[in-house]
Amino acid sequence: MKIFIITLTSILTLFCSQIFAQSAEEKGLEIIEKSIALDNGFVDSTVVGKMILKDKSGNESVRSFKNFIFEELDETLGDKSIIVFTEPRDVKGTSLLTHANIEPNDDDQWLYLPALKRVKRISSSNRTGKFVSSEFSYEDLSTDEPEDYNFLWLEDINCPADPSLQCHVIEATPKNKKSGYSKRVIYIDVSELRYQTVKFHNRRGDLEKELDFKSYQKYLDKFWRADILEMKNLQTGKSTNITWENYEFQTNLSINDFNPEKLAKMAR
Amino acid sequence: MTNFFLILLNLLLISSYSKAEFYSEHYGEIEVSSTIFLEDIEGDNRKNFLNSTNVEYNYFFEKDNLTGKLKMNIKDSYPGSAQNLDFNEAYLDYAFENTNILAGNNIVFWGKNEFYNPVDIINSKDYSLGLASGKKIGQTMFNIKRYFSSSELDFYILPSNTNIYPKSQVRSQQTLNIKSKNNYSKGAKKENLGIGLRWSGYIDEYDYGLTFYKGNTKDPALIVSSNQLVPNYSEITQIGIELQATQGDFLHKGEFINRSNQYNLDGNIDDYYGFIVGTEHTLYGLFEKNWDLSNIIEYTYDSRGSKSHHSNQNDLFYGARLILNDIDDTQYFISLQNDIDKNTRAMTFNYESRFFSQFKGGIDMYVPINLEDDYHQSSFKDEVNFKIYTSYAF
Repeated sequence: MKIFIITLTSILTLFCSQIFAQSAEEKGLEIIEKSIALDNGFVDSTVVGKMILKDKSGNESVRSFKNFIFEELDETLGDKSIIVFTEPRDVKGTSLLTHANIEPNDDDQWLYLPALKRVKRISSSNRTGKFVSSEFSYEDLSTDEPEDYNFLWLEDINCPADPSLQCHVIEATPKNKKSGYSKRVIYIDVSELRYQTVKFHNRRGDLEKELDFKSYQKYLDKFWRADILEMKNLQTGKSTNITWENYEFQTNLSINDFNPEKLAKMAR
Repeated sequence: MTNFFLILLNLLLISSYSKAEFYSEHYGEIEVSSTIFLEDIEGDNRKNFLNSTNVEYNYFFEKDNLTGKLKMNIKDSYPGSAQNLDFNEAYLDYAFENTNILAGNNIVFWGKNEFYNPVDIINSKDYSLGLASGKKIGQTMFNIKRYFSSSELDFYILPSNTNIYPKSQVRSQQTLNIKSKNNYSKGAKKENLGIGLRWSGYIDEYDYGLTFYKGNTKDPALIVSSNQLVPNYSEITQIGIELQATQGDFLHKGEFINRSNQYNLDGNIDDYYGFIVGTEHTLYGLFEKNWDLSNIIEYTYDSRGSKSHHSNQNDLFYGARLILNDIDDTQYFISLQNDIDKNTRAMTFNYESRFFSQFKGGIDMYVPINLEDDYHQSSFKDEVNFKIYTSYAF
């Protein structure tokens, strides 16, 4: 009888813990999916970005650019975007077109070089590479697609960047082996499901970078956008801040504007 | 031509005073450079240095469907350059639906490869600061561009233009001076109208281009006459294909041409075909740093062999670009050209970085290793040189 009770208790404990683990995964996925779904329907947007790069000695360098985004309604495809650089002045007009694809496919990317008037398809398998020498990798700038990660809800706590808010803490483990990270820990506020902080753990598992989203503004009474992104590399002491200005939505951009053939026109 | 620029300038001024929504911007760059040649050339008046200042000014405007651009270069150098002022871009461009119509001067790029682009044939070249530093000259054109979902079709009408060659004191040079007067024959005329056509686009990971050109050649053969080299222009017809396959970290590229009625090195007319094929591979995060290293290897072929009017007739190119991904955008590039016929080689090196935010600086080096026996480049055997440059963008 005693052995039966111990066995039954063990089975029930194992069964309950399985349910609990599954529910944490489901909860993590559900929060991420809801957060992404809240952003559906923006159609297209344009915004001006200013990126300040700081090295560990405090030396600064500025990159300014205009960002065009076109929302792809086909769920088997990612959004399309164009980044047109305006600063430093010697790279003015240099532009990057990205057709995001769902994992495991690489994105399609074309670079426009205004000095040569050349549009060049480039390799986009470089997920871990730095975006214009900043602390943001190409992977950091891509939109989270639920299919690309295993999500796990960990707990609800005060948001580290803004303790007045309550945050869901979700661990996202990338499915793609080319990812530069072993995991990301995402803090999403409970009230509006906005990303507040992301902590990036490198392949060795060490905490490498921390990204805070600040000064959220609501556009078209629906779409939240952070005006400031602060990325700190905790291992090198370098940092990159992006300030976004002049958000515009539904500007009548067409999907044809996001073709490589049109890149030279968009770059002007 | 002068009238054309006056009309264009008037249109720019009228546009800027219009009350409709109007956007305009000015920007430019000043570059100062000094090139030093390490070996003397005996028995001529060529200088062992070249100091140059170039001011580039750009004006761009947009109003409704009309855009316009004026890009002006003012150059001063010692020894003196054959060209001190150019309007490489001076055009008006009208857009409607999926069509653009452009009239004026413009630079156009065709091709996929890195070291040499045989399909690229719209613009003539300005070699006024040396034969090793040719830059495209703005081509006067009437261009209709039609966009499709993943491709575009371009049609060009192209009044003839010619290359600009260095004056006798400027290096790098051929052994003989190049005559400033051109020779036109075999259908070519000083006032000739060319046409160009290009259909380009992409399908999945493949980018393609199909091109056609008929008109005066853009790279005339330099034929010896009365102890001078004379640029010989003929009217050519060229069909070209360009392809790129992007597969992970690898870019596979190729350009193929078939050209008829081109003068060769011996001064005879030939039909020929040529191609360049190659691969570019990038290693990311080299030595666990943020460095990226791109390796490029390309091979060029010309069916005329040693009679080819250019030096890329049976050559292997290797290039390596190291990008440090630091806040100053520092990069290094080294290349080696190996002529397989004679096993001759020449090397180039470039370093470039940004400083004080708006300034850039760099060093270029050209080192001929053993060009003495090269069919086309033996005159560069003593042209080892390095160039220091800095630029300020505003």
